[in-house]
Amino acid sequence: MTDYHTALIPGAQVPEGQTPPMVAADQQALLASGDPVLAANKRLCYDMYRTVLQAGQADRVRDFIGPHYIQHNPNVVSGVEALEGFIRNSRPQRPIAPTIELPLVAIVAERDMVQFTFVRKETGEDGQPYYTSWFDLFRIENGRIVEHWDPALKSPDMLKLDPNKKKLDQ
Amino acid sequence: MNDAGQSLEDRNTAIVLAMWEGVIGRGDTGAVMRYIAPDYVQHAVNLPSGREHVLRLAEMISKGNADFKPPAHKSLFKTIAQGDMVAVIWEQQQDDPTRPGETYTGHAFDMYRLEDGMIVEHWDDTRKWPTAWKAKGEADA
Repeated sequence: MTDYHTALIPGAQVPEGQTPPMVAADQQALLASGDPVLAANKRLCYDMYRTVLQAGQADRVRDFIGPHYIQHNPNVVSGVEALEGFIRNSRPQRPIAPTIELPLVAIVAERDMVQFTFVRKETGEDGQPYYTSWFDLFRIENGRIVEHWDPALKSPDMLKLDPNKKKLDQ
Repeated sequence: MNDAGQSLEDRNTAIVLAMWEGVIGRGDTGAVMRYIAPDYVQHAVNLPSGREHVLRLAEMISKGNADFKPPAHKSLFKTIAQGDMVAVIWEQQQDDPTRPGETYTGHAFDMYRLEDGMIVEHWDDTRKWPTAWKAKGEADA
């Protein structure tokens, strides 16, 4: 299907000769798909992100996540209860914002999968900031997210990380 | 669908996997020229933008180089394509910091944007290395 096209704009200024991080010009355009199932899967993950991961509303987890949720992030155990506990312990509850506030690049869906790509600001060993990418991959079954993958490595620090602190202007 | 009845997504996915096999797998500079656009935008943090840097990488892979450590073995896990984007997810065994001598399965991600059958932009999850890749005999930047 040729209904999806990613319009990108620079997300931050970088020194001459470096590649600027790019973000989506319009998040609503990322939710498009000519296939109603893919469009619904994207919307489910987008709303879960805004409500659970961003707004920290642990009591809404089960509206989006299946009971036998399989978590491949090596720092978090599987299961819907574990996710509720992880959200409660890692970030404060906030109002639900209309869009994703982290620098979102793309939302790509095919078959039963939806993948989100974000700009991720890190600090190099020289103390200078640089921009890499973060990815979240979700599998959807019967209108619920049932499986998640990301590039996280095993690290005790990750358990306390609130990714909402990874905005480009911070 | 093109004349062969292949969707844009299947065609783009095949291009990305052929590029990976040629460029990363064999260090084939011909594959760089065939699949990667001249004004290639690179968001992977250890390489600058521009096809010439992928050519240099392919040469390092094919000739071998004391300073270039090829990435640990990755096996293809999934591809996800829509419109102009193709995401590739890999499985990779990682050393377990909590259980010395043991490994666990981690995941690595690449995403590519294509225009007219050429790869024009790339993202991945790598962190910045303390020193940049350099070719044999090349001075530090």
